Amino acid sequence: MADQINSAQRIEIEELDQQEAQAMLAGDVSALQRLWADDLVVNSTANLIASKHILLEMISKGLLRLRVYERRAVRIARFDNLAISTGSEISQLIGNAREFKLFTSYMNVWAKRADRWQLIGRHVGMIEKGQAVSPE
Amino acid sequence: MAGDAEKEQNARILVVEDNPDIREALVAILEMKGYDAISAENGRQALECLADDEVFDLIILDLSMPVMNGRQFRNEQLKDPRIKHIPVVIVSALSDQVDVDADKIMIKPVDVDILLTTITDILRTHKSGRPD
Repeated sequence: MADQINSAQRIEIEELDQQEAQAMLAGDVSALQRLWADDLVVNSTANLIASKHILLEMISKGLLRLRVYERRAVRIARFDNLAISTGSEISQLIGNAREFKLFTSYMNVWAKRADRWQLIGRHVGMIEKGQAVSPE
Repeated sequence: MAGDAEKEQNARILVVEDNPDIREALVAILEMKGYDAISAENGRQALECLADDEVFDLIILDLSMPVMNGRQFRNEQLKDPRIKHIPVVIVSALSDQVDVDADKIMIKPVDVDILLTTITDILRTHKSGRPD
């Protein structure tokens, strides 16, 4: 059973979620290095399961850049030293010729290890792909 | 051998996938890892790529595609002596319909680390047919 979560614990996880989203939007590799566990597993909307090293390499080489990234947690649950946040996201990847707004659902799994929270798992599912827009 | 490793990294890979998100992500990852990745949106376009230039070292093939699906593409490929030797990795969501002759079959979602290891292993063991 999930533990009862108080407002301070909810805010703590929401802040981690927002820090991670901001780091992704900024392409901040050092922040992501800190927020992501080395054994992070991500299942993306492209049906590709990626590890931390692949994702950081893509970000540092400019292959994964975001123009828009907003995250809204709908539910947060705590299980001892684990927390799950799940909700919706709006993102827009920077592309060469055309870009799409993606409306997705997400589930992030955070683990507290050595007194530090890190993202250990993430799944993103497509809700709807918006119309193509020209890069700004 | 260093020469073999270099040849593997420079290998030419044809990605045949109709979903643009998956296709573009695969091409980006393969190019990031030093491969020369070319893409096609369906089996017909892939055959046209191979007709123009049959020098590919490996094909990553989706099964469910419009115009010409992966199964039809594979049948055509195996009939053509110029391209039938090119190894194929099938990447499909159709986990109950993957009775297709291929070097490796992977079910979506695909683990990128395993895909990259598979590509390296296949390139090491296959004769590419690519001129030295």
